[in-house]
Amino acid sequence: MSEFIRAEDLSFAYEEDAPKVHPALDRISLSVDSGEYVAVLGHNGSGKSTFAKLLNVILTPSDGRLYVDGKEITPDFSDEETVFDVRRRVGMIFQNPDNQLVATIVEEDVAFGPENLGLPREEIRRRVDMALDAVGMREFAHHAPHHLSGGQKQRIAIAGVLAMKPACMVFDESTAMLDPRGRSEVMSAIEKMNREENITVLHITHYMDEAARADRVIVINDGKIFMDGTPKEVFSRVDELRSVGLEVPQGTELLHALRADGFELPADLIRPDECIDCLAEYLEKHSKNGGASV
Amino acid sequence: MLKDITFGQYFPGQSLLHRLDPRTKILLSLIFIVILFVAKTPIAFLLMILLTAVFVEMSKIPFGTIFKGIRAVLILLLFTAAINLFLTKGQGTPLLEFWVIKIYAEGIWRAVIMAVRVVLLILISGLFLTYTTTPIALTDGIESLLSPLKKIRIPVHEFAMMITIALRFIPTLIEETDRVISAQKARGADFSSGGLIKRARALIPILVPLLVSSIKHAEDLATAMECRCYRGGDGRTRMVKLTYRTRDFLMLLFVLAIGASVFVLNHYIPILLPDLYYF
Amino acid sequence: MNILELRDVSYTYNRGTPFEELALDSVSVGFEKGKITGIIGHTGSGKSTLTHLLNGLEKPSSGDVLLCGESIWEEPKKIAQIRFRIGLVMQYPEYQLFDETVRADIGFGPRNMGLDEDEIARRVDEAARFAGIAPELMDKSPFDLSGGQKRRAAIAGVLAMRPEILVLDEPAAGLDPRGRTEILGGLRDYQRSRNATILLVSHSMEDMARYCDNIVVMNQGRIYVTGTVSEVFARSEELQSVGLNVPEIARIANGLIRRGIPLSGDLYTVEGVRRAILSYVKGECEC
Repeated sequence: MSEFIRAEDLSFAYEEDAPKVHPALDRISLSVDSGEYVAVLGHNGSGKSTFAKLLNVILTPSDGRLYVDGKEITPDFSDEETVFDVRRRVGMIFQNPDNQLVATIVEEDVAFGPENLGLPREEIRRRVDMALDAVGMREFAHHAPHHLSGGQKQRIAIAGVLAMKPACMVFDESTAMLDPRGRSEVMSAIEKMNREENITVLHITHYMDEAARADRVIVINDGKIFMDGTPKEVFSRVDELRSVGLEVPQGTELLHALRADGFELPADLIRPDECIDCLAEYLEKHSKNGGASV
Repeated sequence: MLKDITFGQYFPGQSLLHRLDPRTKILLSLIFIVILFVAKTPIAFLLMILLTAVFVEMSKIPFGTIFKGIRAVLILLLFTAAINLFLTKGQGTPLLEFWVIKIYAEGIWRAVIMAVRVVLLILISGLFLTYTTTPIALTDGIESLLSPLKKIRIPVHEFAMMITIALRFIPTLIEETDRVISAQKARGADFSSGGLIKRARALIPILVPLLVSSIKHAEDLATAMECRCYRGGDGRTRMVKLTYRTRDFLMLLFVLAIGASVFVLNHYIPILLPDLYYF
Repeated sequence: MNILELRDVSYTYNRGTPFEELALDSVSVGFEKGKITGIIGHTGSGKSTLTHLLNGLEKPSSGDVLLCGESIWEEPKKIAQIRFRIGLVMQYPEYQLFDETVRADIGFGPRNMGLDEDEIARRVDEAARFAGIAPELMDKSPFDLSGGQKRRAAIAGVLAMRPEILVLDEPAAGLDPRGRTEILGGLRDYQRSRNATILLVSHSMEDMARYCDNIVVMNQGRIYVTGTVSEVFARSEELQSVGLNVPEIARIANGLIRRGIPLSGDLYTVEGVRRAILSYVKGECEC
């Protein structure tokens, strides 16, 4: 697979902070391949949102190198055409659904991006219908967004980005303001973008259960990469995660506690069903042994 | 409370009024307003009331909903009516006289006519420009009608975009106002007692949060728009292109005909109040 | 003893308009003094309406809200006094900040109560401590704080009125795990030290399990289930039938029980399940 994002010693400092505090991003290096589904974890203020903003040229690097889709984003990156190109390739979905919908009718909002690309009318129409179908919101095409639920609004925002046919979507805590139903709607949409539309996904979140569903988890702490690996690798390091104010899925936490009690259980199970299977098997065996010894 | 305000909200539908070109609707509203202020005879006013009723019926929007828009300006309406009623000096003897107030027949007429004008104006502009037209269509219409001004470097697109966004955020801001008022009430804020200055000061805890959140909305929205490759009107295409259809011409013709007849009526039917012209 | 009670309360939004909507449908429920009661349910189940009714922001269309056995609407003019006794923290309360300094903003409620400046200062400091606001932030503008700090300042603004009952609508929404723990922990400290009663609306079943004594489940404007935390989470199938979840750990415990492992005890926290497994294993060994 080809590389889509590459950061080398990438740093970013907000100007007002410069003299006193350490930078928001401190010499991070990483690369993300096309088609990957990456979750980015970290507590508030860890620098994870700053990273997202760099990918979309809302901010530009203070130091180091950043390549998006083969283009280098330099500190003085301001050439309008190249910014436009990068933004067309990398779509962004934000936290507050209300602050990213421009139009008062769903389909006109989805059309906003393609219209900015200057596409012909028939093509815009086609893309809007395709995008609304993909997020399951076609029947709401003529509704006003402010009557929709939070989850539905976020799906409209996703459709609005999808209609621009990006190669990558960045979700900047897009589930943080939603109720459980809205979260699960948006999570399904995100996974669909990755699996069916073959879009590279960066999902920034502080919900562990969401991160556990990605192919890869990057943990950012104090502007540095703290961990980077598969969900199993990352979540098995329970104590380290806790030390930076993060949690692990409850099943993993239970196994971790039982291991401390002397049980021989694996550390890298993260899904509830895996935990049930493993524990049930272990306990059955254990009780049979116990029974036999009596 | 605030949620009851319906002014400035689009009601989805498929009526003839909904399907008219937004430019037609803007022109119709303008023509209608001109007619309202040219009309001087009772018959002309009856005609205009009838016409408005027909439009309301056509739009298929519930009557109650439309009239709520008027409720918001009721106080203003009563105030202007009262001024007209009390301050108009007629030529004959007053119909009613007490203390310093004298009410003449002309005063009553003027108050009634003023009220009718304002009510019809609100109804028609609400009906054409907000209830049956999406804000985007409306601004597209304005942009298109004003596009000749682009030649003299007036930023028509930016102006239109500003209106779209303002309209988009009306419901959001109404909700937020409700929420801030509730939150401050829960902290014991008192908005209803004390003199003028105390009451004005009591508004600070509402206005500051609203201002702050409006700025936040604006910043976030600007970022979101840029992320979606927005860079002004140049090079932008539209999904929906405005086209005049037969129904637009017919409707314009119809309203123009009514305008002409009102004008004719003014000349052939005795006018009640010659000086109504000057209002 | 129930300190706060709803008796047969109904509430209709937009009465007499095409948008009329029955938000609460003859709800009767009581809240125990000195306990933390969680209120769960979907968006639109009537939870938020309930919080507004409890604090007298809205008046029931029918039925009554009783505080210590007396109707809060007995004398409608004194409703402001009731609001000082029943504090309400709305969703995303950081939007309510307005004053020049954090200190002044937290003092807004106590000032409206007509307290003297010494008492206000005392209460502001106390509230800031419970909400976890560092002293050096107190003289900053609330608009210079981070998101999490703003949330704390807003919550402190309600705590400073020292309400006997505190109603909170998703106080930790959108915060990271550390922020959640600190805010909810601070609220529990307040509850314990003042023997206050807390009603906590939240979507997070894990938080409910960790902090609450009792739970009220709402569905479509009615009370669906009430009981202690363990009673309610034991009925996971009923909860799931109305689209609500139980904490992940409770699902795991239920899964183990279904696989024939008889666990018992408080099966809705990690610690509870761990203890249940330990005693199960010990029990097996002892026989």
